[in-house]
Amino acid sequence: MSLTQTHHVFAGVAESGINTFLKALFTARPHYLNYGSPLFVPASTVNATNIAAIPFPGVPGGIQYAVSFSIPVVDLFPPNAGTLSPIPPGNNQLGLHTTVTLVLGCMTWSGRVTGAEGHGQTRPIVCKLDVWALGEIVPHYFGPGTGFITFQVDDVRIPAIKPDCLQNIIDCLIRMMLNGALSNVQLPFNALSAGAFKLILEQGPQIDNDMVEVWGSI
Amino acid sequence: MPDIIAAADTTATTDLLHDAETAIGTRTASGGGSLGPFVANYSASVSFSGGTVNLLPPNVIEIADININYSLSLSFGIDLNDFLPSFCLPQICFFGWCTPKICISWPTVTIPISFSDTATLTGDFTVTALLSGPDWLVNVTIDGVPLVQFGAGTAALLLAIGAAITAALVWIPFIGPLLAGLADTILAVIGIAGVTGLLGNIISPFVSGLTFTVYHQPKLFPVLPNSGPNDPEVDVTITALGAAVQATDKNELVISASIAA
Repeated sequence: MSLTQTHHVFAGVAESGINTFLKALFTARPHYLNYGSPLFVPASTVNATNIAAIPFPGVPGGIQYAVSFSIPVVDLFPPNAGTLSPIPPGNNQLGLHTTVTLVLGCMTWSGRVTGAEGHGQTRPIVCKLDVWALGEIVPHYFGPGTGFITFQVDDVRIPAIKPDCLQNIIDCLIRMMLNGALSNVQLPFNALSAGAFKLILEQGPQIDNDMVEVWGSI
Repeated sequence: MPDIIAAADTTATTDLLHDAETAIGTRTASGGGSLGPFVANYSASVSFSGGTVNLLPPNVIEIADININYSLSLSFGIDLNDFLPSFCLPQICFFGWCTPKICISWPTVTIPISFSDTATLTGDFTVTALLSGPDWLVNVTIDGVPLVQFGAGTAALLLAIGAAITAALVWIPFIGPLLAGLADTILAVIGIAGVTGLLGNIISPFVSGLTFTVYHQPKLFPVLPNSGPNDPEVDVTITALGAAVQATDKNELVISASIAA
């Protein structure tokens, strides 16, 4: 069977290529993986993104926290032999493995404290968790030669969390955070063919044979 | 398995070829060559367009009927004494005083010609991927001696030469009755063979080793552009590139790349 099938051009990026793109992107722009409230990240830089503390009545300055992910590693369908993922990718899906580091600014204060800064003591509590996720590729097509693919996380499993109710909360929390982080991953069509041609998308993206595949014309 | 595979069928490869022809633009050259018994100086500009592709495994693209669009400015000198009889005014005497015998020497005349036409080229081209300085290229380079067909262009150029001769000589005194015969004689001396020989000499350097680049990307391949102080450009390095014609249920030009972060 030809690569182009009933179309005129084909572009396919292997799992290794997708992971190279992710490594390049997150190495150049690590702020897409690292987030922290003002106590941990006073201002957004290329390395980390400043986010607001979680407001809570009576907690001075709100709850300070930080979240960071290691560079995700993608496993395109079919799943790698011997994968440890509790949710391996099915047809047209991708698996994703990362480590999330949660840091809570554990604050202690006495009496009634007012003002955003507060006057207590804060001790960071750090927890690293292994994260397995399941997702898909989403295309954004704007016309001949222009568009990109991005990732959407549909499910997350963090096996270390017990009991189940807490696991569900943390899984959902991390899924939302991971989705937010990965929404910044936009691989242009041009990169999918290493610049060989400007694709007019006709079919795909499809995940199969450990590749992200697209078809079209030029 | 390579990190990236891009494949183009015959139709898409034809489009890539046409883009490559446009990228070459117009090439120019000048020099001298034989036009029958004459020596012609020329300047030429050539561009390429069109052509149909046939993909032949493992690494050949047969391209038929590429248009060679050429424009020529050429000139050659004619010593009219080689073609016209000598012409002398006889000596005339009046009352013992005689005029000298005066013989007219015909001038050497430069004939300028401007001519444009399209020839066609058919040949086999070899597909090669190579790293050239900071860039990866996929070139298709013509093999051996290509077949260039000038078609009606040779006869048209001969006609243009005839018209140019007439225009260049008509001002010469006493030549009127001889002009038509002179032009015919010069054209006969040059002949189709002379025109074809000159066109071949002019066009050959343009098609010898003719190379179209159907892929051209920097080794440090930009994935995302710089989009702000916290979002610098994202690049990957193309560490290896391959190109070949593969045959399955249809033939395809396949470009494969390995990349590193």
